Formats: sequence, structure tokens, C-alpha cells
Amino acid sequence: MSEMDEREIERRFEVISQFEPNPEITARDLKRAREGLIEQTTEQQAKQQNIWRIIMKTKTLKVAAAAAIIIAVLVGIYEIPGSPSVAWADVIQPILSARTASLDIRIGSQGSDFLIHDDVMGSRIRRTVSNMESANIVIDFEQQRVLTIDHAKKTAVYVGLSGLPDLRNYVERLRDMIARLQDKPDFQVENQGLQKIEGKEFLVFVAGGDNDKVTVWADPKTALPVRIEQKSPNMLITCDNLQFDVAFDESLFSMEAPDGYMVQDAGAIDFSESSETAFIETLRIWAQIIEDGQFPDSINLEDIVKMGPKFAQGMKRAGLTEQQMAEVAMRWGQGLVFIRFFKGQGQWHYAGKGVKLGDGEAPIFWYQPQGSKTWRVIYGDLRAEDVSPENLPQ
Amino acid sequence: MRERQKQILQLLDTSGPRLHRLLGRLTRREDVIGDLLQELFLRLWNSRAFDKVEDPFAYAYRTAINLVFEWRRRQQIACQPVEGKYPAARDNPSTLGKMIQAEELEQVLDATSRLSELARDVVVMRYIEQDSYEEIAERLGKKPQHVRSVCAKAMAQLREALTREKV
Repeated sequence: MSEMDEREIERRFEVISQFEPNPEITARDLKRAREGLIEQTTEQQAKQQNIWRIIMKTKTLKVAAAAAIIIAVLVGIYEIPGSPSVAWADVIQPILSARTASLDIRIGSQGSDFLIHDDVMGSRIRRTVSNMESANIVIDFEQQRVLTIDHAKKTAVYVGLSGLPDLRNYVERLRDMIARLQDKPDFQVENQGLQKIEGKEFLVFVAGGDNDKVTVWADPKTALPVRIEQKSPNMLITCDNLQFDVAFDESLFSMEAPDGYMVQDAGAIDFSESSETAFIETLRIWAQIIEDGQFPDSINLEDIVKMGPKFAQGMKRAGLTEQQMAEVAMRWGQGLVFIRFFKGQGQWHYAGKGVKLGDGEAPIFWYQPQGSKTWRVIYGDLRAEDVSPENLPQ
Repeated sequence: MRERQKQILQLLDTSGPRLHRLLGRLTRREDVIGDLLQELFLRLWNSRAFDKVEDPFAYAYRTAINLVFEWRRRQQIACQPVEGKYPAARDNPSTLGKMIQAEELEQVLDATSRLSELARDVVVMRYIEQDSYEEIAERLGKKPQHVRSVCAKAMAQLREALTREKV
């Protein structure tokens, strides 16, 4: 076989780079583009005059909400706050060389009916979720983008993930996590011996530090983990039916929108921005738009992932334009970074159940910032104050 | 909305000719550049991310590359060369030579379209637009050494793909 010379490739590119369009054609095309833009913006202004009717028919509504929820789920699963402890270092070695993986993810208790299925190939994840059956999500960590495709409605929404740490490869991520945990002074592993799941016996390891616990069920013959349960103060995640080196069709992980689908770019969530201000905005959107004037009963990940339809209804009710819906969904998702990447000391506390937006007497959320002697308390009117530990809400 | 319209029209005025030329280089079809340019600016208009980007031109540039490779995939057939715009094939100045060269250029562009998005962007910026590694790095928000490494890997992938096609 004769090998293609690199210089030959460069030569071809050089020929391509010598193309210069005819100036008349350039002028004509630029004029057309300008006219097209002006026409588009005029149409959009006209549409906004009767926005309510349009909102009732819009196709991107649910997808915009879904995209924000997907981000919330993504944050929760792939970046466990406060470093999850993993006993799986003892049983995980075979995974470290895996190119692909397949797993089911359950957030919250075993009774939870919300299930995520992930197929992982290199830096991409193809995700399906049980309450959005017609939607496929492809997450590309290298490009830091999420594509949500709704086949029923023929829509495709891109969401950017800026400010993420380097997450090029899922397996590399596991390796990093193990290395980090082994360095923790409070890291401990307990071998609990054989236990049964649905009639089959598995080796069970429990590992953890002060705040987090990870339980790994491994096949006693192959030492491959089949279930991993991660428990941290505000979250429980179970990964089931783990399989490695599964043969996938690469096209399933494509980040291209299918032909003929309506494409929307919903902007980006910046994971480096986990401010209290952004979180307060999330609470405001939650109360004002999603819950019709009242704070939600819970802000746990388990509840967040189930709220797709409610989010969509809330945005309809608020009479937002299509662009506003996408913006609201993204702002809401941005604030969630604060609790998912919680950087304060210990746990955060939420007590917004039954509290109305604007109630300045009711504390709804409090936490202790890193290195601070006082706590921050957010009230129902969304003001935040420093409070000494003895004056914290009970 | 007026402010946004003004900003996008300004981008069209300042960077439109360069984006138009890029679309021409990657499609090699003067008859489709106009449609793609129009689609590009409508995408920018509909993009929420556009309002937040620090460098609107860099964003438009990458969107243009994505757009044109989407178009190439849709085509799936060899495009015709742009009449009279390319220098004659180095060793084959005949009509046949031009046809062979056109086929070679299509092959390299098709192979580029199969690279990852990042690798594709880097290859286009480096070899077709002839930007420096530093300029590419700044445009993509990466480090120059990362861009170099992506470029080297992409070139190896292209070599492998084109070698396979030669067999």
C-alpha cells in the first residue's frame, strides 16, 4: 500500500486556500444576506405582537426545558459534589481500559420511576431518559456541547457547557476520581462479602470518607462492577446494568442535527460560575414561573429531573417568547451549578416548601461559605443575609 | 432587537467578505456560497450564544465551518471545480489533469469532514485559512500546544484516511 505523503495533503490544502471568489459574486451574496437578515428581523417583530398564540403552538418549548433539565442531570452525575468516595478501586481495574460503556442511572430511591440510560463512547455520551421517550441527547465533553433531539417534534437544541473542567473521556474521568480519592486521608474501604441482587450473588464493597459513601456490587468471578451506588448528603445515584466495551454504531453519537429538523442554539451554561446570585435567580424563576408564585417542595436532583412537563407548563403560563423560554431555561440551569458544585462547608439546607415568593420572614435556604464563621440565609423575598450559627433557622 | 440587528449587520459588513471566501474555499462552488452565507447569518441571528461571545467573528467563523461541512455531508457527491479560479494541476495542466486535481481536492475535504469538530476547525484554520497556531488557539479558547497536538493528530488521521482511499 503506498502511503499518502503529508506534504501532498498540505499541497492540496494550499490549492484550496488559493480560491478567491469573484468580487461581483461576493457583493451580490453579501447584499442578499443583508436583505435576508432584515426580512427575518421584521418577521420576528411582527410575531411578537401575538406571542401568546404562538407560544401555545411552539415546538421548541418542551425541548428548551428538557435541555436545562439534562444539564442539571449531567452536572449531578458526572461531578459529585465534595468528591465521592469510591471503594471500586479494588474492582474497577478492568474498566480503566474500556473504550465504551453502557449503564442505567437512577436518581433518588430505588422506587424512583425516572431512569436514565447512557451509552458512552470516548468523550461522547448518548442519553435517553424515561420521561422524554421521543428525545435523544448526545453530550460531547470534548466540544463541551449537548445536543437534544426530539424526533417526535423534529427539533434539535444545542446547549454549550462552558467552563467545565477537562472532561475529555469518561474512563479517564473515573481514573482521576480514583486517584483523587486514594489521596484522601479519611478514605476507607470495607469488603462486606457476598450479597444477593435479584437472586444472584455479588461481592459488595463499601467505601467512603466523612460525607460520601460509595457501594460497589461486583461480579465475584470477573471482578467487574455491575452496580455502583453513590450517596452524598444531598443526593443518591445508582448506576445499574454496567457493561463495558460494548460495540456501538458510531453514528449514534453524532452531534449533527438530522436533516429537516428545526435547530435552536440555547446558549451555554458556564460551570465556572456557581454564584449565590445565580442560584437566587434560579429560585426566583422556580417560584415565579414554574411553581406559580410558590417555592418548590424540594430542590433535590431527584425532583429536578422529574419536572420537565411542569417547567414547560410554567413557561407557557408566563407567556414568554420562544427566545425568552430558552434564556429562562438556561438561567435556571446556570443557578443549579451552585448546589451541584456546592463549594461551601458541610451541607446546604432547603426549607422553601409552602413558602410564597416575597415572604421576607421565611428562610428558604441556608449554607456556610467556605472559611466563613457566619452562614448565608436566603429568605422568601430572595434577599440574602449573614447570620451567626446560633441564629440559624431550626 | 434593533441593537442585535445592528451588531449582526456590522459583522456582515466587516467580516462578510472573509466568511464568504471561507465558504467558497470549503464548498468549491460559487453557486452555493450565497445560500450558505445567508443561512450562516440567520443562524447567528437565531443563536442565543452569539450575544454572550467575546469574539463574534471567531464564533461566526466556527459556525461557518460547521455549516459548510453539514452541507458537504448532504451533498455526498463530488462537487464541480470552480471554473478558472484554481491554478492548473501542478503536473497535469490538461483537462484530465484538472479533473484529477478536482477529485483530489474533494477527497481531502471529504476526509476533513469526517474528523471531529475540533480537529476539523483546526485543520481548516491552519491549512486553508493559514492562520497561526496562536491565532487558532485564541479563536478556539485553547492553548497553542493543544492546537498543535490536535493538528498533528488530525493530519495523521487524514493521511490514514487518504491512504486507505488510494488502495
